[in-house]
Amino acid sequence: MAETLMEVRGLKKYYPVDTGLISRLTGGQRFVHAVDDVSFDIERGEIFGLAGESGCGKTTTARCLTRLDDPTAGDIYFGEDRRNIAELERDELRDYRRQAQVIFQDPFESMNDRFTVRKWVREPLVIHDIGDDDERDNRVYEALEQAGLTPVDQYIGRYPHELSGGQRQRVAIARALVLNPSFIVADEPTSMLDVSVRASVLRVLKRLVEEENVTLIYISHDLSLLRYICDRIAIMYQGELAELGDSEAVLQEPKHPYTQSLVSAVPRADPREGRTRIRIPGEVEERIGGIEGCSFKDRCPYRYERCDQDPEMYEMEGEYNQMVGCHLYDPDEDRPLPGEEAADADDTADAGVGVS
Amino acid sequence: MSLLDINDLSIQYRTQEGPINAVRNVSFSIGENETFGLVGESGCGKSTIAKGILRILPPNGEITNGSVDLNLSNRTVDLATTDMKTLREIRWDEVSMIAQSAMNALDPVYTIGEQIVEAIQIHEDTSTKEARERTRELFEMVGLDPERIDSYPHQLSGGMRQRAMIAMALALEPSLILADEPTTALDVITQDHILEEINELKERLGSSMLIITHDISVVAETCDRVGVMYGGELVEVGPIEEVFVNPEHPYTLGLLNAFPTIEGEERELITMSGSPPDLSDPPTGCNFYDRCPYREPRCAETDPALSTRDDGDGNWKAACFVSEDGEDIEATYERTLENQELWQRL
Repeated sequence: MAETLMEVRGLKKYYPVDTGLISRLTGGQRFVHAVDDVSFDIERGEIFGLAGESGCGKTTTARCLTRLDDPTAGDIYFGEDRRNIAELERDELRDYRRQAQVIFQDPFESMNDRFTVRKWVREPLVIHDIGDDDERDNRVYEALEQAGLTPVDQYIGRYPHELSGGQRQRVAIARALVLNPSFIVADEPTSMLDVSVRASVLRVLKRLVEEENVTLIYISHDLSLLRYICDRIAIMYQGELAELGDSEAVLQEPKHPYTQSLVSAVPRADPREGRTRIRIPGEVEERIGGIEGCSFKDRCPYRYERCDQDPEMYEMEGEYNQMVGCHLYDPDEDRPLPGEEAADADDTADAGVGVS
Repeated sequence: MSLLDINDLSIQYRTQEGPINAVRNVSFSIGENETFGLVGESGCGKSTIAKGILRILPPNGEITNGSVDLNLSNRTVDLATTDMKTLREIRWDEVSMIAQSAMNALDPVYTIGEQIVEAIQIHEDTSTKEARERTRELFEMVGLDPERIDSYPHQLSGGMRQRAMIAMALALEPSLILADEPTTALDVITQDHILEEINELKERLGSSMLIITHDISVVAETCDRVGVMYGGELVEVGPIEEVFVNPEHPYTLGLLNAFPTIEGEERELITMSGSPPDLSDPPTGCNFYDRCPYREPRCAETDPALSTRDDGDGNWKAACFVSEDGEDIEATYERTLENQELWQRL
């Protein structure tokens, strides 16, 4: 059994809306529940995919795990000593940030225009006051090599505008690596890149995990891509976990009604392949305040009275570590499971919500 | 007869460092009721072609060669050379455009209804009441609540805005709709709904369509034929079930190899190393020479032209000497894997 690197328990992150004086004085402060009670474990040395549509809370979750944002509630236990990341302050937090690094989406905005590659990759060592000049140079070289920017001498003196998008993203990876982190969050690191470049950046990340014992959280809305890189995938919807399990199981045999429709909506590149769409009405909306019961119930073709209560994550039998946040998978529930009767247009109409 | 015939089209951008040859000698046709996809990576010239068709290139862009013939029922107009007056009549009325970012394409200070009514009234002599009525019908067609007619763009979600944009593009029942990355900014479920609707509406109105995208799965699901662009040139063109199943150009194969799929056997992603050619100084020989695992000495000397491939009616063409000589590129997939210098496994 793999060792657990991180335990996330009951993570919540609420962002205030209408932060004006009057609403504060009248106590009418309202909150967007970006992440609402999420729990999962991350194993050491795995690539864990966090997927879902925009606004589902995947990025906010990752920001909390790396403490770029402070969680509203919940615990995040990390490493062998089970420190609670959610409660770290000052020096301890600084120390954690050395071990946990983030790679952002946009390689064109995340790099300082006036820094050379050398200066940019070296900066974290300066900030954390690690090593003398020689040691720092060595680390920078090593990190650039690991990120696949070779021959290093050819790139190290360049400015961002002298690099292609793929090369910039490798510089971002090198900057994350220079501190020898044990945990990296990559937030859509390839979504701005062309397909032919994308695969090479993925290869670099995959090699890191295999050879450097790094644990990686990979955030993306692109399920096809996650299939190639992740060991396990968590699907989020409206700030809650819908489904979690081994990549192949979640993508080939999705259980949650939301995952089923999400997977069915992915276009296929092979013109010979057909697919059956499981259409759901409506769109993800930003919801202020919490949602009573299942967050997917308003769009779900299988909605019934139990959906007004919060579903727990039910564990599926079998070897795929699959967990599903839907009442229909309660072993005591005797209704038919989603997908057993294909949802057709009539079903969605019955859900009482029109396509907007 | 085809609706649109593009012949030998070349487009340049003037820059301080000299001209950039964004599009070079591109020729293809779009038939009546046909959906044609143009795919390629950033900078390959696909969006420049769309802008060239409507002549909405930025001030430093210029059509330097070729023709863009639009064959209407009563006349043929060369969009590349026609006068501005004719062009204004044709834009929106005969050729309309769905832009990638509806937020930027729609005016934030007018309601979406006002904008569509205005577009209708510029081209047709109708009362505001009639035009509004038609707008409401259009909204229903694209799956948008007609009550939304008085909403401002910022009051709509991304998917709704894109639907409003589609309603606007359909308002005058154009012969040709240009869609530049119509769903790229959308989530997968919304993208799916919108692609399905675009398909249905195109059938219903009998329009032709040009879809420009980097996403080959979008093309595979919506288009009849596809053109693959690389470094400003068209390298392969043909029916999707030929081009995407038995590619005849190594770059097409490279794109397919690098594209992840959600279904089927889990194979490795294979990447092409290197980068596209410098468009300010394009190579004498084949554009793809530097990155091609099949390259031969002749490929560096002469730029291969598009030549017909075997589907019987000259519909399928590729610009590659190696596959022209009968080498099956798809069958030598394993050979490409051995050539690790150029093609790398994930």
